Amino acid sequence: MTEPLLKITGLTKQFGGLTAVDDFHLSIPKGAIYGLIGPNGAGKTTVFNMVTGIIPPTSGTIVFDGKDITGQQPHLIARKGIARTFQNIKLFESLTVFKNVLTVAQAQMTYNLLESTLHIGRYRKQEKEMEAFSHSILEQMGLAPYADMISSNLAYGLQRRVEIARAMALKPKLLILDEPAAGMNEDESLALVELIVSLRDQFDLTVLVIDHHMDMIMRLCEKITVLNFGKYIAFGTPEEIQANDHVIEAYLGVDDE
Amino acid sequence: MTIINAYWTGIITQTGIMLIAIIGVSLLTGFTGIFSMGHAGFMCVGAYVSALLVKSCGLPIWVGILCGMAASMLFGLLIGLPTLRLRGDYFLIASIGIGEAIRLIVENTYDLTGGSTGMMDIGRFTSLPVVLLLDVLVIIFAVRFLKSKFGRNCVAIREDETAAIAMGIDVYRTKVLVFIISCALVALSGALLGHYLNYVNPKIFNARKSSELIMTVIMGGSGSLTGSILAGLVLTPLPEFLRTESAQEWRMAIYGILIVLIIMFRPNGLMGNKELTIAGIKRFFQRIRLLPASRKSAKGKE
Repeated sequence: MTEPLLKITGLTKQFGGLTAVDDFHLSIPKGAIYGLIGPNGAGKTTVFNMVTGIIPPTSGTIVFDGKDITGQQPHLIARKGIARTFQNIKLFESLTVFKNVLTVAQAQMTYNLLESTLHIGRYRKQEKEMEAFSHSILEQMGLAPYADMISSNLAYGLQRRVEIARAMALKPKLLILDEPAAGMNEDESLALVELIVSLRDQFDLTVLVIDHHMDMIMRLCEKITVLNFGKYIAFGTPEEIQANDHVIEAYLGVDDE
Repeated sequence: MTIINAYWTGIITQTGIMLIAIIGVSLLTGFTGIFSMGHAGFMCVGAYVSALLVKSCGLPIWVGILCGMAASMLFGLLIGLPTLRLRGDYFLIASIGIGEAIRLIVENTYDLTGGSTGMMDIGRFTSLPVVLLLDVLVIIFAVRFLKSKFGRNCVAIREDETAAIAMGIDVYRTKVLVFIISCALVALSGALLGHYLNYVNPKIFNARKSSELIMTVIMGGSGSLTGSILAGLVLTPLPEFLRTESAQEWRMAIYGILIVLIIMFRPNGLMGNKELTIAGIKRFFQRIRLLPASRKSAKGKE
């Protein structure tokens, strides 16, 4: 078996006396779409925040693409190829859709301040390349008609899409989606499933998704991990998870009688 | 006749000098969202370093000004490296302390700086053409900075710091960069002011000056370079126009009323996040011209 793209072992996070995530394990092979589910407050977003470096773990290791990234600075982790979206959409709100994507795509620009001030050297070429690259992403995501609109003026579902487009501008190897279908109706979340699968196929992507829409998770994910009160309780295919007693217990509670 | 001319030249020159500082603060506050209440302190560093080098070492004035800018950038780096790790409000509080500390140091090193009496005869250099030329250069620099990845990183930080960092933007480094640039620009402005007045005094660079800079940028609209420039052109000479006996004292009150009005009616400032462009002006006048026509047609339909 080949080396997994992301390998999390013994990941633990304590906030004071509260253990938000306890001894969490997960490995995701390259090209897979995995899900992470669990009731509210189970610690799913905390896992995401540790993987992306926003909060440092108390213990445990995160290995990405063969390198240990535990506790590294978030912008460096992002540049290594982990891009994410947020549970509560975090776009650069007053910028246009195009500028949102361009601002992230420019991670690949290497010109310095002198070159950009005098418009010499690599400045013009790189600006042009990244503008074209940003437009091509918008095109692929079906966002081209909205390129010049202020992103906060868009409908909710479209804003979610822009956030994914912005993440794709990083040319990530791993895309982490935190409740991408939140607030979406049936049709919209179906379209989202198609979009995520097509992105995975086109860009050789690996995807990790958190969501509460069980329909969508079951349809989208190859394997699912279930968390409850910070503890790993189950792992398996959608069918296995749906039949798992621990999972049903976690979501519906135990029958007292 | 010549007296009137000299009077106006003076006002325009001083406005042009302040414009450079306003653009510096606009990049920092308007575009990156970092509020510094200590930037008069960095103006002070620029003015005094240049004054001292010219007066006691006999350097040419333009060299003195460049050294003043360099000193301010270095000082900004030393102060920015630890304080820019602080988030929003905490940085603001630190910056108030920095600005006042610089002023108090100058006031209390009497032997070197002349203390609160200031320094006289530091050399005249600043003239209207020099200021206008530098204004143009600074504006070109600011426009090109904002149209580069550096400027876009700044705006991303203002919009959402967490998203910026998760999207691979080195937030800390960008903040330090824009902070140092703004330190250089306000120092240039401070040094030009000193060599215009032929005199420096720590009171010129007090906390009120810092808040004037910030207020001008906010009134102009954050995220708008043309807004900052327009506000600077209106607000800087305002006290000159109000120079009757009592108006001086009412000046801060008028500022206060203006701010309240702007918060009520234009919470994003005059030009929040929009730039005044020639195309935009044309569109505006077209709309005005079409307005009576469209009203008529609307009435016709009724």
